[in-house]
Amino acid sequence: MTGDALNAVLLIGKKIPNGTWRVRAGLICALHRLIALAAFAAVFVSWPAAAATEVLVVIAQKSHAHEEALAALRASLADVSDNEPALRVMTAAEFSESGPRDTDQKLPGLVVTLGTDAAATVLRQKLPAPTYCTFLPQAAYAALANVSDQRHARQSALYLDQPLTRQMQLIRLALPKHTRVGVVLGPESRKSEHNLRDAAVSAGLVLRVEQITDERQLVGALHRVMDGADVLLAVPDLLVFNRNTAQNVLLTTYRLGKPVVGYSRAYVTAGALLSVYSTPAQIGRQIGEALLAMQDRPGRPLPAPGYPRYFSVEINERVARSLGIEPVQADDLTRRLAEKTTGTSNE
Amino acid sequence: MPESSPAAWGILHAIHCRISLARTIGLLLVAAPLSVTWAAEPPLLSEQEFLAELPVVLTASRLAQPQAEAPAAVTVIDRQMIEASGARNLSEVLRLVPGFQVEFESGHRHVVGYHGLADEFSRRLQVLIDGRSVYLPSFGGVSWSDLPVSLDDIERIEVIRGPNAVTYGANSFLAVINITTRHSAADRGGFVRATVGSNDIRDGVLRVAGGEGDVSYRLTTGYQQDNGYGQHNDSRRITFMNGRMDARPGVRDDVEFQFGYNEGPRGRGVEGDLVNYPHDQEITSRFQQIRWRHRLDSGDEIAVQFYYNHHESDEQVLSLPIPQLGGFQIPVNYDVKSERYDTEVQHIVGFGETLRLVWGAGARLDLVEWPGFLGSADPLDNHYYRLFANIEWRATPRLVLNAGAMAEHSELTGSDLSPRLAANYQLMPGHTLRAGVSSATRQPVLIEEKGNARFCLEATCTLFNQTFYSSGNLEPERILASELGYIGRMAPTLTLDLRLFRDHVTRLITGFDAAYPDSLDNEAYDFRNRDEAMITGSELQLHWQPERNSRVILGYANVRIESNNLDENYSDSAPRNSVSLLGLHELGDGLLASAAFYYQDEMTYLGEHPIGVLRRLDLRLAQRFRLADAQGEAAIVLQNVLGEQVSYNEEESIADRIGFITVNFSFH
Repeated sequence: MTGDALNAVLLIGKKIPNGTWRVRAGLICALHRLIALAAFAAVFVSWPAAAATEVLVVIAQKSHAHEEALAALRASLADVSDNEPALRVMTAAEFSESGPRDTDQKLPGLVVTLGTDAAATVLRQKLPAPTYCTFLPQAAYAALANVSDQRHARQSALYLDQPLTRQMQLIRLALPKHTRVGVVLGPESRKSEHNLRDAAVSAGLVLRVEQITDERQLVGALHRVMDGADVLLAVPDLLVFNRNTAQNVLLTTYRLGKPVVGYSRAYVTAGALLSVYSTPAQIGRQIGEALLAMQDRPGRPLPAPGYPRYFSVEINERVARSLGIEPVQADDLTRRLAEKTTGTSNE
Repeated sequence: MPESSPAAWGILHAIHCRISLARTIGLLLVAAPLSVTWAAEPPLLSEQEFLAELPVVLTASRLAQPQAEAPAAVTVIDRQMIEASGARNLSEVLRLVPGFQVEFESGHRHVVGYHGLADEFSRRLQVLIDGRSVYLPSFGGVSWSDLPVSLDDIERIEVIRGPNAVTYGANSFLAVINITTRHSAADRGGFVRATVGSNDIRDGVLRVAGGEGDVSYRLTTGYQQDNGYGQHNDSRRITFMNGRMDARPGVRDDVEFQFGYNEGPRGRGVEGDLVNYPHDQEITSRFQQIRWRHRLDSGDEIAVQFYYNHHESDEQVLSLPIPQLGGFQIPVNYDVKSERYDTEVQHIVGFGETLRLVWGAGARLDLVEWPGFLGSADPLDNHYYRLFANIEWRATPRLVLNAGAMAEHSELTGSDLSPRLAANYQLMPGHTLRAGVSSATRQPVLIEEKGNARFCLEATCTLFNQTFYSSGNLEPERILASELGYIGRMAPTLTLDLRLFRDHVTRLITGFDAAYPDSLDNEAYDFRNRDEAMITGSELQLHWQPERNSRVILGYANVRIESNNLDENYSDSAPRNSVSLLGLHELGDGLLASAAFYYQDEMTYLGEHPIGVLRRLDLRLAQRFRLADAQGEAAIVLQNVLGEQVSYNEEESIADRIGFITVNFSFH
């Protein structure tokens, strides 16, 4: 995205029953609206007869979250264009069984995958159609892209996790006194250590790192890293930060009197101080916008792999209070964070 | 080094090697099959990691009260403050707390007072280490030199200024000192420290920490010696060892086991005295403790704790021949052994978002064997039971109410109830007012209730001297404390804690010379509930952190004691004004400088001579460095730089300048 000055910020804040504030922030890129309108006009003027591209959407599974993303994707297409691409939706399991062709044995013009399993299933088939892998962690895509021999022009991604700079800026803004950030990295997240350091430095923070190779080393590593850190940044990893270890992580750091910055809304509900994350609807919307932008371009290149443009910040006020942390205004925080970082920043 | 140290080394080494071996074998067994599966199909991080719901871990019942919402004033001393203070003894760190005085009666008998009423056994403060009370049931108070804990292992010290019987039980009277040691998983590898200084200071500490999986351990052993004030026979040679193991048998359970041991001679006696001539007192102090915490589905928590304390002082003296008694040598038996068995169950229950209940029960058995002073060779025992509950209610988003009580029953004194009520109101974000009324009791200790000390002055014992004879039937002392507090964040870098207090202490147990006709001088020391005191004043605590690497912590207290003063000079037992100021700054490149200044007006410890105005300045300069794989720190500390002054008692305690150098290394 270019032209920060053109960014308008949309904020919707609402109190949800469990007592935490949830603030949704969307960056509506005015420039994007212009492009979309131009694309709409261009389609009408210069390419009236062109048939709408068929887009095959492969979702990892039928879950509430995947449906929500899909609904937002459809809504964002319907919102802007009459000539919306035709969507054909199947699950990864169905794809494995029946393949990419439709009833007329035609291949889709573009494949969009939602979720890690969907991306893994589709990329394994090495289709000629360009593939846009979305709604998956950056680490998963990196691992898949390595095994796949396709080139970026035919294959790209929209990650589900947040750019590290955005997370570091969030700490900087929400916790101005917490300048030493601790992270515990596992065998997988270890690859991002260099990027974490860069992101920390650019936000004026100091990074403390402990590396582990076994989940059973986690509690010890947490104690050691937090000895020299003010806040723990949870970096998702198969070994270190996952659903099974959340309890250990939250209890250990809480007893040390230090906050955790999580990576999902659930982490905040469970006891993290705050998280920046993208909802399925926010991802769905960005996929839709990417499809519309591609419609207008000759050769229809995929956007470069990138992080979500739209994001939400959630704060656990009870935890903040208990840790004696100055209450942060979530909406104000989100606005300032949106001003500081842009969604398409590539790392 | 004493003889036991090489042995301790050997044990540590053996344990460490054994664990390392177990770890290696364990890893080999686990790693072999895993590496095969992983090579076949690397698992990928799924979007579910970001989407799936998690159970609420920090439930309302598990979240601790923030300082602004606590029903009492709290001073927190963290590791950085402990190090910067330059303290070599745990007790000295408490000088940083507003209203506290810390002096040494002798090199190994440290006197910690808060709001006065302290003598060499400061009986009106509760001290806990990881939830274990170290208050001695024999003569009361805490024997600071005999605690088997190293300053290096302490994570933080919380001092509750004011009574808090509801949370901390009996004797949480004028204040509660709550010491927390580091989790055993917080350190890994080895740590060594050596300290050498004037006054024959020679200290060494060795720590090994490690762990495997859900089990971590720490073993610390050390030696400490100095010559006390240097003018008397009040030196100490301390050998200690302690261990801590933390285990997590399941995701819902935490088990913590600790043990500790402290022994060695402490110098006693005065040159020229025929009975109390210079000699050594042999101390043995040890404990075991186990705590288990279990989390329930509802988010509630149950904690069970058991500990055993053992404190023994061997000190039998045969006086020099006394010419007036025809050369008879008086045998004096100072031997004392105190044991405490204590168990407690606690349940934390959350009712929705706004109500939380903490309740529990405990039982305790104290055994004291003190033949010379309790008139019996058999141990005296006391059973003690307690029941406590506190409700914390967030009535509105700005108003938090705390209501609680502790009911206790002691075989010696019967039943008592100590209620508490407090309200914290947030005026605006960062500014909270607190008003509270709290009560507590102090149980009489055995020397007060059952003191009976008689010394034969010749071989047939027809002539004797009775030094203690307690008439007994004492009631617990009672305090009713009212306070008004304010906690404010004046700026992001500046916090202020103000407190006005009024402590009404009644039934004060006072020792005095009572008529005892058969005794040599027709008197014996007795104890009665006969005095009261009204302590009023104000306290201020200011914390300023202008930047990450600089901190300034200021404490001030104004204390006025009014008392009927029948036998003790309670009114003068606290300085009217006292100030503590700690400043620390990281100069960069691992260089740290800190200074602590203390001031107090004149005062008189109970039963002692008045001491004048005290001004004390401690300085510390430390350099951190790396040596191969080890992280090191070398520091020079100068204590009491302003020079000689009377610190506890005019005659016997003239504090001089002390300097020492300390070097430590941590390595993995």
